[in-house]
Amino acid sequence: MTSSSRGVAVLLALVLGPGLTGCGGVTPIKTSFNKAVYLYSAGHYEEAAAEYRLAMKEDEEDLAARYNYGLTLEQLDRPAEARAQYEQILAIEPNHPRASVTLAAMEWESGDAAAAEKRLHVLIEHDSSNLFVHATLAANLVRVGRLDEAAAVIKRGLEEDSTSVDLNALLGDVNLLRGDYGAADEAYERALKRHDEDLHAIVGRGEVAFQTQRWPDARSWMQRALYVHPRIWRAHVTMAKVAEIENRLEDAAWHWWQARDVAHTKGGPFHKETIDYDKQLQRVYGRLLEKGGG
Amino acid sequence: MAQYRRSEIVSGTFILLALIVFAFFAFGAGGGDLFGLLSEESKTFVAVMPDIQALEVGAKVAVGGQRVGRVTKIEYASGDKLGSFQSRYGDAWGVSYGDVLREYESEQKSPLYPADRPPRVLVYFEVDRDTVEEDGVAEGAGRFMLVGPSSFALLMQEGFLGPYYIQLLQGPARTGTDAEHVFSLSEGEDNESAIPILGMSTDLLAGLATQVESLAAKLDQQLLSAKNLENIEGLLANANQLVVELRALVRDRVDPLLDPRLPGSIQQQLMQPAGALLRNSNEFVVDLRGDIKRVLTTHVEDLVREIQGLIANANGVLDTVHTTVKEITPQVSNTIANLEKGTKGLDQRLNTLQAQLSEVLAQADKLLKEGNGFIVEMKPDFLESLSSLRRTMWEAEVMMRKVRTNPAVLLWGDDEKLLSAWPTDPSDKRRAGRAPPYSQRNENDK
Repeated sequence: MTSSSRGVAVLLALVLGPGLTGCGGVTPIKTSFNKAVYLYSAGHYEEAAAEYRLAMKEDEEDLAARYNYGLTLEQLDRPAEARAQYEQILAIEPNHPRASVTLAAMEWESGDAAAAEKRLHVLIEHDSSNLFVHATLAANLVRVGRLDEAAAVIKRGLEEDSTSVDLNALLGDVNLLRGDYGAADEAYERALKRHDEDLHAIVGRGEVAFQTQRWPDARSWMQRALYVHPRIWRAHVTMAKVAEIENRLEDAAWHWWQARDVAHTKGGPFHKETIDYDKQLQRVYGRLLEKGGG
Repeated sequence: MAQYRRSEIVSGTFILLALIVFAFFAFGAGGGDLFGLLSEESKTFVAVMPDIQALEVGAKVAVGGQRVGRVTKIEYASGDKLGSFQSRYGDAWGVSYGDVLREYESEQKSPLYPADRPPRVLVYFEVDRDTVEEDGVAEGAGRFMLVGPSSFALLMQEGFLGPYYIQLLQGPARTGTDAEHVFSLSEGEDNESAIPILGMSTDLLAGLATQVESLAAKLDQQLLSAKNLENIEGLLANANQLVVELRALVRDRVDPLLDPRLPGSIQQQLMQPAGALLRNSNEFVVDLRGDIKRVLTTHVEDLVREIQGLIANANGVLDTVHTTVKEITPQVSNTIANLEKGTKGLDQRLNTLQAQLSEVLAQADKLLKEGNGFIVEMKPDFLESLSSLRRTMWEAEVMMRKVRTNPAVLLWGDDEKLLSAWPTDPSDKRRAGRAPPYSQRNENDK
């Protein structure tokens, strides 16, 4: 062997030897599962999928690896295969919470709401302490306007944990949509007591203030929401409306532009609201012209 | 009576077991390898060293810091034994020990062994069977040591005050004919059949340290000369100045242009005539063409030109630095390359900006030609182009903000993705529906 290779080896020994023996070195990730979790979090889905396959080869009943593999397949735009993985998990463990919830989400997306609801109800019956399931079911019921059923699911969840942030915020949504603004505000407030930066509840309180025509409060809550995250569609829309009402037309224009920019992210209980941003902007600029005497 | 005897037996057994366990751990703590003793599947090697410091029989033999065996015997090498070692080395590897030594020393440009202390100590050590590669192909965990003429034993110390031990270095993996030199293992070998490999003591490290020091001094002299330092400082000062100027430019020119609240903004200047059109559409058609061109040419194109001027200045600075330091070290070249990449990034961003401007102008022209009815509706594609232009300018500003807060991104690059909206509204996060993935597990848990 060449002498240069020996030189490299000696230098490696000089650098790595004391380092490894003295400091313990860097601990490498050993298992396929942990490698895959890392690769998934870094967005390397193909590589993560390969590692998950290895992990499942080592232990066919490793349901955590199989579930994560399903999520990875969804990231790779292979939903049918992902679905097959989730179903395989449920064949082994019929009430696997994560696989059930995710499968229900897929069913909702494909329009099979009845199957999704049934699946989540079964899961709640099996383990009523899993609040994530209550919240998922309630959120979807709120979205389709079945407020009474949503309220019942939320109530049952709150019996398990009355301070749940998710469930209180969802209860706020239900009351807001029913027009019971006092109860909505109280529910959002309970959520914020547990987690004071919960965007769902902050935006909800802003919306309650807007609906009850408390403009400064609405502005204040939405500003707080935008402080937590600057690109929230609902907050920009409400800020624009409030600014127009308060005759701050420049601000209104700014928020309409922002809302238009992030419109693709809109969601929440008012996601059905359609807005013609161009018309809003025309109106605001028209008023600006009139205001300026143009 | 029987009861009494039984309790005595139980106590005695317990104490005996405790003693065995204690002895087992005491043996391990003392550097012994009980399993190694019980196992007969090991391979014995011998290395000749000029100085073994405080190395003792039983000391650890390690690969990459992990114990793979133990020192079994240490003996002073008389002339005969040394000669025997050298001839056995030739037999084992098919190359002369002297040739290997000379080749190594010529590569390192320093003697392997100090002239006043020729190698005189033979160190025998056993390596566990699983550690030695049998067929040159890595098959499973543990079988990673490929022993050949490029392998050698290095005397090392654990920390500053710890015991001495032997570190085995194997050199690059080899295949083909070299693989013939890999040993097949047999049981119960004696010291006479020990495989000779090169041995090194810490004196060698001292020699290497001197070499490294001299190399560092040489680098210092060349790289960090007063002239180069001056150039590097100049480079950094210029980069800093560039950042300051870009920031001022953004503040004075870009911000007002993009803020729809200000009368000079693109939105207002383009939209206000649209508002006027609501009152008088006929007059407006002619005005709009002029307005769009006035806004875009006087504001944005000037801005682009100014930024390009700044980049040209930066490139000028880079060229100057290039001529003096580029060839000295790869690190400096790399730094310059990163700086160039940064300015090229800005250039590309500006090219996009210009392309989008052209698109907006073309669309505005088209709108005007198609008739004034479109203007009232503010055609969506035209607005989309404006929005896209606005986004690009925002990205340019984000980049400049990054440079301002951390000028090092000019030197070392910046892999952070551009700011963009979250894929879903955060206030709506509960409706995404998917349960989160499982996290990593503790790898020590079975």
